[in-house]
Amino acid sequence: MNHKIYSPLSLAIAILVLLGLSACETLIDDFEYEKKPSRLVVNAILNPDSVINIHVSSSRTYNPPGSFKLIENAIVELFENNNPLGQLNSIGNGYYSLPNTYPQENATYKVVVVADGYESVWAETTIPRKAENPQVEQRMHTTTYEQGYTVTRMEYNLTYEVPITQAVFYGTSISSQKQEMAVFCEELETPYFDGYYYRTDTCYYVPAEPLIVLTQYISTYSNSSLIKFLKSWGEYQTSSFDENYSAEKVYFSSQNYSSNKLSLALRIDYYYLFDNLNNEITIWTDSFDEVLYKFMYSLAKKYEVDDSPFAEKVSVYSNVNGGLGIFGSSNSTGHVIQYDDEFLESLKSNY
Amino acid sequence: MKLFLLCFALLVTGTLVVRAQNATISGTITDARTGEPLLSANIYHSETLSGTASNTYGFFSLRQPQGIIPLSATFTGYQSFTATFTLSRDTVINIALEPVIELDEVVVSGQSPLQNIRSTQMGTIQLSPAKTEIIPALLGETDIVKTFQLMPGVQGGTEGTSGFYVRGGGPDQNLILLDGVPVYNVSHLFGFMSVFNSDAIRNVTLIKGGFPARYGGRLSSVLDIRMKEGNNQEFKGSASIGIISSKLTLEGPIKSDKTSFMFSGRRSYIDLLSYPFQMMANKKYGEGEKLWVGYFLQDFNAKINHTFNNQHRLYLSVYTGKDKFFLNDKYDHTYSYAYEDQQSSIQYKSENKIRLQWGNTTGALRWNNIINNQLFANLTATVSDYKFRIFEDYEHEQIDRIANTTQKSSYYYEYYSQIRDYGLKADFDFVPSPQHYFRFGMHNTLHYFSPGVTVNRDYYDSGSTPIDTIYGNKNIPANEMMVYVEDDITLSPAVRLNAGLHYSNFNVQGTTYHSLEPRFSARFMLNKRLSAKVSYTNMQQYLHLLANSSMGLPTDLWVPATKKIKPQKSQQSALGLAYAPNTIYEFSVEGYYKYMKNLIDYAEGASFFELNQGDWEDLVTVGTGESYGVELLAQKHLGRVSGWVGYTLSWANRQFDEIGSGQKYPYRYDSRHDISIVTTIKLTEKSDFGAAWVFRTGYPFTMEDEEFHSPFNFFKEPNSPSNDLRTIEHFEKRNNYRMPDYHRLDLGFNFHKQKKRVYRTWSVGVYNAYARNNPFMIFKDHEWDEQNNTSTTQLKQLSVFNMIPYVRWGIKF
Repeated sequence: MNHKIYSPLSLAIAILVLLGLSACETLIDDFEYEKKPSRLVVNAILNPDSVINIHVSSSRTYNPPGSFKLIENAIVELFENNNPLGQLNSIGNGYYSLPNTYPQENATYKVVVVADGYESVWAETTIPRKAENPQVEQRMHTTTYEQGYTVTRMEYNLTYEVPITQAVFYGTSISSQKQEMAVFCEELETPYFDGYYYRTDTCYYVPAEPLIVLTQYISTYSNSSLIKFLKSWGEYQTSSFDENYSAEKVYFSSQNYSSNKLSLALRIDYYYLFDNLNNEITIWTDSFDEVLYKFMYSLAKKYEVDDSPFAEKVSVYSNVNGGLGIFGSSNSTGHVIQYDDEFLESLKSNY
Repeated sequence: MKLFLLCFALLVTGTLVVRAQNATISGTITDARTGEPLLSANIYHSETLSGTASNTYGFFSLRQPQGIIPLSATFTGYQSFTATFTLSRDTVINIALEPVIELDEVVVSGQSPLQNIRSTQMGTIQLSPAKTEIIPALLGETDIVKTFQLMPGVQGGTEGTSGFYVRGGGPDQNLILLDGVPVYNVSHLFGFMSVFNSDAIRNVTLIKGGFPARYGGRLSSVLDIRMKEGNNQEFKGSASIGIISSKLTLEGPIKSDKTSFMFSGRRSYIDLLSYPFQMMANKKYGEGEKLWVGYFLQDFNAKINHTFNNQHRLYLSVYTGKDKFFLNDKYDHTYSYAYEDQQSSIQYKSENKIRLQWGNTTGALRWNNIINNQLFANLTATVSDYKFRIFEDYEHEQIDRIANTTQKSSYYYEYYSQIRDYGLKADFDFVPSPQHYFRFGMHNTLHYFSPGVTVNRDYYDSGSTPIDTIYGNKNIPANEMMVYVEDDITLSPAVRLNAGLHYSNFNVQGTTYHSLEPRFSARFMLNKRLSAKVSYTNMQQYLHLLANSSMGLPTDLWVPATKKIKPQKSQQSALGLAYAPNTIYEFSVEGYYKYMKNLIDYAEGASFFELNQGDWEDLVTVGTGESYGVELLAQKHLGRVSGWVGYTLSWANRQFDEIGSGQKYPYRYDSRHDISIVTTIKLTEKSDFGAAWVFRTGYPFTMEDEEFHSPFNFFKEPNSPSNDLRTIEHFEKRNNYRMPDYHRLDLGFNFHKQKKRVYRTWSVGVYNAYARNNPFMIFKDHEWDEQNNTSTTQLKQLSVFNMIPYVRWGIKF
């Protein structure tokens, strides 16, 4: 090959190929979205430990271009087992409340929302039974990965008693309270007053914040292939407890499962168990009704794939007839577990 | 079913008894210049017009009354053969037809219009590679699959790609056979070219419906591609150079009239052309690093055949092709320094190879045996292998030049998916009389599926244990067996039908599936030029393709039906009219309805990347599909100006309980109107012109068109300002919108010249001549205005291939 020809020829061909394969991005300014009216959006997560609060807003349509509206003048009626509980009061920012009324376990609640300019909507939810505190066994577990390396974790084997005839929908999270810690300490040669304290050292104190175990440090296993797990980020603060305790959750259900015991193992990396206040963790179990579970599951999936060009888009579940949003319920319980002695010894030797 | 079997038996026995003093004329029909067998050539009694057509291997068998027989053999583009002789006993006649293409004509199909209207076969298109050479193509790369995309009932997938979707079916529902061997991935360069090198192809047949019983295992179509046998008369060749790739084909006799060969190779060369520039850049900026990134595709087709005698012929055909994206990174640098009188010199050497590659390999060993003048046997052993792999292979070396010590480490990671088939086939053609043409046979295929295997090897010199593991779904065996019988029955000159039964079973992981599938098609001659056709087929498919919806990627995985995921099934009915006023023009209209069940798709939110995290069966959901429509085709087969106009009006829908709350939604390649106008013109003796204009309704896609508040992040604080409410984008059902309509015009010219030794052709043209911005993808683009602290969302369209010129140089010798 003649090199004098080779270079410009190959350059020309390379440019031509690049031109051919290069993509052209254009703005679409004449795309017409389907014309649709704005709909009522009803959001509420009922919990036996909280008074009933329902949020009513309207959806934002693209055609005609609309905006979110908080609906303050709606008639929001609530029924318990088909018996009217009364009309909820507007308390601002789109919220409606029924003071001193707490949802009851196993009761079915129906909400009917009527607002001027919108199609009326309704939705139903049945308050699930609180999950029984699971039986918990703890042990250290060493995993030898297929890639060859090994990791030792603390394993909590949880066994829930579940009804055979009815599916349960659970979300389990783990939290613990860190001890207050001092770091970066050095004694000062010249103590001084900083406006609040008289400082004799440079200590910086890490406050005793609650520790939320990130899902990537939790492994979940079950002997039954019918038990499906979905771990997701901490968007879902449905617990009625202090919101700080709400954590990333592991979602699972006993659908298609025929045993009265539902077992799973949570394996947690050591790091998250070290230096915890009282050497204990709390296992939170949220029991959801099916509609809330579907909503949360689909929302978790949506967030998981939103940026992936290789996955189909996910439609978020709604049980609001004629509208959007979720009218669901949950029932939460916490179970405190002390570290066992062997584990404490292991922690001391590892850290 | 019982009624069907009864009718079938009555028809067969009823017509077999009508036999007299007959004798059989049998033999083969071939091209006189190349020795290539001619498929579907007609041979008939010139006066009674009773006759038959040659099969794929050119074999025919015609039973006629003894006496004086005026015999004719015809094939479009070839001089007719006529002879009169006395038939007193069974006779063998091998006929070689001379091509008679007029210099000012373009012949685009071997099958004549009259033959088409008389056939019982519905929804069938035959193409010869000659047709694809004249039609303009993207980057000048002639492509038989893309030519089929211009036919009614066949949808092309994403812009520029070679995937095809027949009558609302999925890409996995096409049985693609290269010399009778299944090919599982037909895409080069992410689908922008097909793997079929037109220089190596003899003819191609696409069947969209009314499947004869000899075909099975797929729901929507059969694409039967036959490679050239190799010229057994003289040594011939062709070569061409294009923008993307170059090709070379050689064929000729090894022993005249006995043994011939054909081989054809194709390779792209962007990797080689860019190499010097990358090396120059390395030299300037590399600092010890040599980086070479590239891509190439290659194909190799080869065939050899030997004729032992009039009865026995052996073929060996091989195809192998692959696509490879690669990155080679070599690093070699020595750091020398002095610190507190200590000299140090450490050499770092590393080599990293990253590959993304996929490819098919197929092979077939075929034995044609003319057992007697009524029975033709074809025994074939086949192998097919498709593998997609992505891997990284890294080696590192650290050499202390002063202490003379070396530390080594290496790392290898690979993910691959694969399907391998080993098959045995026995097919027979039995022609007892002009009223019957039986085909029967048995196929057995052993599949090995590896849908997602990870290989991991680590080595460290530090004394830690080396890692060498393989995990995932590896080599899942499955056995597929089928037997079939069909008869092409001529009840009267006006009524002809094809009835058959196809039985198959599939054994995988201890589960066995069975399927008995009746097939039926019939033709009624309404007059000499007009026929009505009807067909019904029942099909079952034991393989599924896990396909990501956005593009036809090589990451699409073949998986078997399992205990949990059942085989796909379909039923298709079609009704049509075919009219041929003469041997030049042909008009047809066909309506069809197809129902499919046990289709699989990724569940909402699942994707290919989760496959190695668990069982693929947990990622999919099962549903149904239906499609229906009308296809119109007007063709001009011969003449200075030839071509066709095709129009399809169709609907294709899917319904999955777990997708979009179970609502029925349009299939991703559902297109209401599809029009193709293709013309080829012989301008002069030395030049021809081709043009193709296509239009189709935009494909559906999913787009959110409403937003609502989420219950989270604000719920606990009812009295707080609510400007931080989270929102959720919402769409009512999948594929709720359509992209803008798609249309483009392609133009191409070929300039030929007979040189001293070679016949040279320059091809120039343009793809998408009026630079239409057709949508490849539509997406939302979010932009953040930092000054105003506001976010704006815009809808954007990605288009590719806007007015792409091409040039190609080729010779034939």
